[in-house]
Amino acid sequence: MTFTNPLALLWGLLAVPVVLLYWRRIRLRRETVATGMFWERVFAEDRARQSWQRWRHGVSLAVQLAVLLLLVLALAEPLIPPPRQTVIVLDNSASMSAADVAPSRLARAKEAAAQIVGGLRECDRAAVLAAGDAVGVGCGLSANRELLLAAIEQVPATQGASRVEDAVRVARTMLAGTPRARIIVLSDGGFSGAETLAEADDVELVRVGTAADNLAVSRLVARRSLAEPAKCEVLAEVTGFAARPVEAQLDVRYDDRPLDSRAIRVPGDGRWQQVFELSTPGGGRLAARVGPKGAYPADNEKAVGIPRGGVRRVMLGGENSFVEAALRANAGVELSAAGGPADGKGDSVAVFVGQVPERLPDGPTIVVGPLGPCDLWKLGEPLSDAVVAGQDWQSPVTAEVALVGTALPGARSVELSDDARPLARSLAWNTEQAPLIVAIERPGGRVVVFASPLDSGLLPLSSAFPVLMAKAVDWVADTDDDKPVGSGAIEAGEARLFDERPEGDLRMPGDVGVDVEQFSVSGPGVPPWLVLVLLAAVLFAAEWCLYQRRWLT
Amino acid sequence: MFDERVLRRFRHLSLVARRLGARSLLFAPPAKLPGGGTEPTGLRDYAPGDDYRHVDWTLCARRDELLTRVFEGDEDRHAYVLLDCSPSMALGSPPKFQLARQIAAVLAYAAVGRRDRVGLVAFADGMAGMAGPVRHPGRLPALLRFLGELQPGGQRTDLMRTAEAFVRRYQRHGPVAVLSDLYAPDGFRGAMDLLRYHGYEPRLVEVYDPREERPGLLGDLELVDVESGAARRVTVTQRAADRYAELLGEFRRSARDYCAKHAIRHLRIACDTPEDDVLLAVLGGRIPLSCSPPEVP
Repeated sequence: MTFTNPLALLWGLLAVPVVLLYWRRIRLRRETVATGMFWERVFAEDRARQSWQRWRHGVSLAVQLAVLLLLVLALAEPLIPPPRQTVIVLDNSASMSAADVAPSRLARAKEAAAQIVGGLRECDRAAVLAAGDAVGVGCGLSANRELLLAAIEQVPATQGASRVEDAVRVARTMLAGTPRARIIVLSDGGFSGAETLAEADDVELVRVGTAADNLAVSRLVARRSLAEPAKCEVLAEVTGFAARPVEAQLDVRYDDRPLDSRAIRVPGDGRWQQVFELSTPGGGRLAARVGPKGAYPADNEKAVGIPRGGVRRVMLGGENSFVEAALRANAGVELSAAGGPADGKGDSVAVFVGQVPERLPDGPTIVVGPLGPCDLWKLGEPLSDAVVAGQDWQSPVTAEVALVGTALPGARSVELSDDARPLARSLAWNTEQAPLIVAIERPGGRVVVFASPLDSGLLPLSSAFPVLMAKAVDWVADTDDDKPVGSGAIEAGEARLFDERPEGDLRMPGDVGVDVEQFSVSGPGVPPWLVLVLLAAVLFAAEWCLYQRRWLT
Repeated sequence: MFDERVLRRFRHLSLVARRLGARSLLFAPPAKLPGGGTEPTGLRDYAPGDDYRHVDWTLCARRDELLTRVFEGDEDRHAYVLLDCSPSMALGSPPKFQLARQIAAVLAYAAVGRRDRVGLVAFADGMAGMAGPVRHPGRLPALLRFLGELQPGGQRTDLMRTAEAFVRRYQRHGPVAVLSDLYAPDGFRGAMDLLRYHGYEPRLVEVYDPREERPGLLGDLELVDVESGAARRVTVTQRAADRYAELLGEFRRSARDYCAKHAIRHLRIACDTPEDDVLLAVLGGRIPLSCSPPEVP
C-alpha cells in the first residue's frame, strides 16, 4: 500500500501510551467488602453479562487501537487502489464525424473521455492521444484535470483515416514499465484490427456510435481528354456501405449549375460508377451529391476542380523519345522542339532532358534526368536503389498515378540547395528517402525534377506515363490565380476508400469492445482518508457508548 | 482499654437504666429454689435423710422433738455473650467490632451487677476464645481484659458451628446475646434454633455499617471478601448496585421477621451510632422489653 504522506505513520507510536494507559486503567481498584455473598448472588443472576465483562477490557483496547490505526492511516492518506496511469486514445478519424449519435460520434467520445478524466483521483495521471489522420499527443501524462479536459476539447475532427493502432502503439510506449496502466480507446471501431485490439489485456475499447448504413460519393475524377482538350471525362462513383441495395439520387452540378440528376441504385456493399463527358474549355468546379443524407453527411458530396482547357506551349530541350512521345500524345500541348529552352515568359513550359543550364530560367520547367548541377540543386552519386518506395498522394502530379514499386533506373541523388529546399516537396522517394521526383515552387515558376532520365525501365512504357507527364505539365503551368477548385485535392472518403476498412463504412464490427452507453466510469469516490475517519468516528462512538458512557452517570 | 473511666461510665449508664426501670438485654427473671439457698424460711419435722447440719438442736432441746430448718434462695443465673470476631467486624467507621465489644462489656458489667454468672465467648468460624462465667465483681476486670485483648480475625463467620460448640461447653441455660453482623454464609437461623432448642434464650444484636447498604461501588473493581479473602474482578453497574441493595434489604427484613416470629429480642445498631445511646439501649433504657425494638438510627 502506498501513502501520500508516509511520515504520518509515525503517529502510530501513540499506540505505546495508549497501551500503557490501558494497563494503568485495568489495574482495578480494590474494594474490601464485609461479605461477598450478596455480590455473588447479584453476579450469578447476571452471568452472561459478567462473562462478557472478562473480555470487555481487551475489546476496548482493541477498539481504541483500531481507532488510532484508522486515524493514522487517514493522516498518511493511503492510495487505495494505487495510482493509475491512463492513456485516452480518441479516434478523430473521418468516420467519427458521423452523426448517428447526437451530436456526433466524436462529441460523444469526448464526453466519455471527460467522464474518464472526471473519474481520476488526484494521484492518477492520464494522457490524451488523437488517432485521426495522424497520431497526435494532446496532452502527455498529467494529473492536471483542466489540462486534460482542454486537450480533449481541442481534439479536432479530421477527414483522415483512423490510426488507432498507431496511437495504441504510442500509448504503450508512453506507459512502458508503468504499473497499473491502461489504455482506453474511444472509437467507432471503424478500423482494421479492432477485434484484436479489443482483446488486448491493456486496452479497453469503448465503442461509440451505432451500426448505421451510409452512402458515399467515393470518387469524382475529372480529366481533360488528351485527344480533345475542350472535353472532360468525369468519373463518378458512389459506394454503398449497407447490406442491402439502396435507391438514391445523384445530383451533379457544374459551377453551381445543375448539370445532371439521376436516380441510381447502389448495390449492397457495392459501388455504382458512371463516366460523364463534359464539354467545357475553361476550368470550373464539378460537384456530385448523393441523397438522401446518411449518418455521415460529409461524404455525401464531393467536388473536383476541372483544369482549364486549351493548348500549352512546351519547349523540349534534349532528347528523350519517351518524354517527347508522351508530350506529343497530349492534345493540350503544343510541343516545340526548338533548340533552346523557353525564356520563361508567357505560359511556355520548358522541358530539359539531360543537360540543364547553370541557372535555371524562370517559368514553368520540367527537368528529366539532369546531368549537371544548377542553382537549385547539386547532383550526387547514382542511386543504387531507384525503386519508388513512397509517393505523395496529395500532390496533383502523382495523386492519380501509382508509382510505388516502380523502378526509375539511372536516377541520381538530387541534393537541393539551401534556397530551394524550403520550397521543394518530394513527390516520390526510395527506401532511403532519397527523392526521385521533386516539385519546387520557386518565385520564378514551378519546377518538377525527375531524377531518372526516364529512358529505361517500365514507367515510360506504361500507360500512366503520359498521364504523369500531362499532370506535371498542368501543374507547372498552372498558377495560383487560375488554380481550379479542388484540383488534385483528396476529399473525405476517398483517401482510404480501397483500404480494408474505408472510413465511409459506419457499420461497426459487432460486439467489439464496450458500448459507450454501457461504459461506466466510477468517479473518484469518497477519499479513503474520509472513509477511515468516519470509520474511526463510528468505532470511537461505539467504544464510548459501551465503555465510557456510564462515567457520566 | 476498659479503664476506670469506662467503668464509671458503665456504672453511670447502669444506674440511669435502673432508675428508668429498664432491664438489660441479658436480663432474665430470677427463679426461686425451695429447699435450697441460705435464707431460713421455717421449720419442719425431721425426716430421715435430712442433713444433720440443718437440724435445729436448740429447739430440739427446748421442745424435745427433732426439727429441721427449711431454707429458700435464688438459683444461680447464667448469661452469655457471643461476640463475633470475624474479619468482617473489623470494617465500618468506626469498626463494628469496636462497638460490639463495648456492648459486650456493658452487658457483662450489668450482669455481674445483678450477681448473674456471665460468660463471654468470642467466635468467628468457631469458638475462638472464652472467659467466665464469672459472678463476683472482682472477676470483672479479668473479663474486661479478655474483651480488650480480642481482635477480629479468623476466617468466615460460622454461627452454627459456634452454637454447637457453645451448647456442648455451657450446660447452664440462660440468656445468650449474640453480637454479630450476621454475615455468615450459612445463615444465622440454624444457630438461633439450636440455642432455643437447648433452652437458651437468645438475643440478637445486629451491628451493621450504614455504608454497606449503599457502598457506592461502581465501575470496574476488584471486590475482596474480607472473610474469605476471595477476590473477584467485576464491573458494578448501577443495576447491579441496586440489586445488591435490594438483596441486603431482604436479608435485613428476614432477620427482623425471624426474630419477631420467635420472640427473640433483636437490636439493629449502626456502627456510627453514638456509643452512649447504644449502651443505654442495650441496658434497656430506651428499648421496650416486650417486643423487638425499633431500629436504632
